[in-house]
Amino acid sequence: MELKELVEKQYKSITEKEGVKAFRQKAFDNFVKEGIPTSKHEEWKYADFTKVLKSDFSLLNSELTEADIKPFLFDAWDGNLVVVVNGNYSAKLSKIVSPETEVKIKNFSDAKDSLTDKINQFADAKNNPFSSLSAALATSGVYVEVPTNKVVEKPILILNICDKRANSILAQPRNFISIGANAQLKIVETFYSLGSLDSFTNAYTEIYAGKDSVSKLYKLQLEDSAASLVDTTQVFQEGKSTFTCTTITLSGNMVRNNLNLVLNGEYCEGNMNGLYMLKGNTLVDNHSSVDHAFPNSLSNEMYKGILDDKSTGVFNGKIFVRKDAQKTNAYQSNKNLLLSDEASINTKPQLEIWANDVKCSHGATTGKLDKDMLFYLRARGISEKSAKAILMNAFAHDVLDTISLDSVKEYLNKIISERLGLEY
Amino acid sequence: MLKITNLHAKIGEKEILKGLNLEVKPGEIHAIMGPNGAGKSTLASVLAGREDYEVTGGSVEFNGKDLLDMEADVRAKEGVFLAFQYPVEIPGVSTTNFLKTAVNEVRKYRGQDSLDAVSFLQTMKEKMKIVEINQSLLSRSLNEGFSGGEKKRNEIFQMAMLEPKLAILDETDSGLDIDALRIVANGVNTLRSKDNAFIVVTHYQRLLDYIVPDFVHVLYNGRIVKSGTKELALELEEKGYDFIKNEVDALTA
Repeated sequence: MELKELVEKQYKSITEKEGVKAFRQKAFDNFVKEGIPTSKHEEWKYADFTKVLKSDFSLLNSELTEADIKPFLFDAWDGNLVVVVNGNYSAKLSKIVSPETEVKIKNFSDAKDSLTDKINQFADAKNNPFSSLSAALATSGVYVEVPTNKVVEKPILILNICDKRANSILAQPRNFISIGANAQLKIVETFYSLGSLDSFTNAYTEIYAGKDSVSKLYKLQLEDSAASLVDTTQVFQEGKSTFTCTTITLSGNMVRNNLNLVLNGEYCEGNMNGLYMLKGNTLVDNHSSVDHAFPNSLSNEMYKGILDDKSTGVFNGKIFVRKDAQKTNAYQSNKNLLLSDEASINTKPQLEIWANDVKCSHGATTGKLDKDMLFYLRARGISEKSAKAILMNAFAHDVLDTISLDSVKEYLNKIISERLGLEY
Repeated sequence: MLKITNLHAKIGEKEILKGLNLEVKPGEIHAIMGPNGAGKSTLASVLAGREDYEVTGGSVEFNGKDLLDMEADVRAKEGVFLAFQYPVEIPGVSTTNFLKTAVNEVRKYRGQDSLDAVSFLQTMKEKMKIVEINQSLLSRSLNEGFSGGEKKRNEIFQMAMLEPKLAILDETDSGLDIDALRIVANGVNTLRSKDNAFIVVTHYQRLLDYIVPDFVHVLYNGRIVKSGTKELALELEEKGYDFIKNEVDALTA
């Protein structure tokens, strides 16, 4: 079915209460008005999904078994597991271990009463029509709520699987995560696909980080080369909150990440880290923005890319420092290694600063492996291939170090070492 | 062990080595001295296989094999070690980690079994004592934030781990205070045996008080212009390099 037809049909099939309905209507109208952005849209210059979206998609759900999902789980995962298949929350496969007094984890559709006032508050509909598409159509998803003062001891793993073995799939996973004042939470969100047909996943996450809260979100994007993904994360931080997002993209067809932080109070800390290690024809576009609206906040951004074959990387980092946001510290860096002549990177820092007493820095580098470092390692008897692998692994390591869950870090280390042909 | 015959090498368009001859036998320590720009570091780099230099003539034989024909890592596997004058900093790579890869690649090449984590650590602990280096330094990013002395001690430590047949110390003494110099020299003396050899490249005589050479060569203008025993080093210290320069320039004028 054509995308437009499919979206309309799906939209019309949703029956809901008035409040939600009005909200959906608005989102749907928005999407129809803006349409899918083409390469003419400044924000989507390199990530033109129009071609990807010509596939004959369906919105079918899929029933997976425990055996199906096993290959995608971390070894010895000690935490909550939420499984989302083709955008739908699977209560059957999910395993919640944290007590409800510590954290509420449930299907979005079971939490509807609280939806209208919270959802889609922070989305930028104009520049991101995919956020409207999600708001119009998503009927299932993950709802996480941490009450005030609670430290969630066990992390949450949200496992997104796109089952495209029998049909090309359009999936719309949606998360809403609310972290109360002085609460703490760690979430890992992974993206995998099953089967070799095309898919388009329009993922949308909203995070409300209460005053003094500390939260971490790690995203692992590991879909196959027929899977495309737009993953939008809107974060609203209250004063003195600390939020860290680390996005690791190792495969896929076309991946676009939108990470937007609003620092809505003093003494916030927002950390945005990313690693994209690409080969084949994969394109990864990381767009981020941080909005410093109040004084004395800190934002830290570090994205690193290793690009091989014909892969393409895009980095666009916006930093806004508003007039009142004096004493803002904002750091941004984007470093890239190009391993092949056909790989490319487009990097664009965008700083808009209206305050006069701030410390902001940004830097972007693109290069090859350092030949003095290579020679040093080879002079110790290490072959050229291993020496390169060691250096690439080292290049990636400071992004991986921002992940404070050992099982996740070990898992990534293993994949990356294997990819590089490193032996330990 | 090492036989360098009429070696010519250039970097870019500049010829630096202009017909250098040197023979090193097992158990020997050769000091190569000379003024700045004479080609000392070039010789060390050419022997280790740095690709910036182009060998334009001559030959280097190492234990009967053509050294110049080998890739840098193969030279190391064959037993050549270069202690760098300026060891590079590699963020994210610890000495322990890369050395394990290095030691095992070298062992594999030499037909030995690879060391498991326990025996590697054990060997490391023994060798650490030789240069008075501690474990925490070796777990840190290689040379990042190391003092000059720590960097050079780390070089000698790596040498101890790799057990080369021929070690080339490229101005290992530069920038070292006397205490660090003693530690480094002591390390070299401990590792010295009748089966291995050292080429000690230095600008100053001081290091040779601690690492006593069998031969001293003076390198000037891309050639070895004078060879002698350790007394030559003392003479150089006393008279400076000008006396050699004058002698050579008078002969070639």
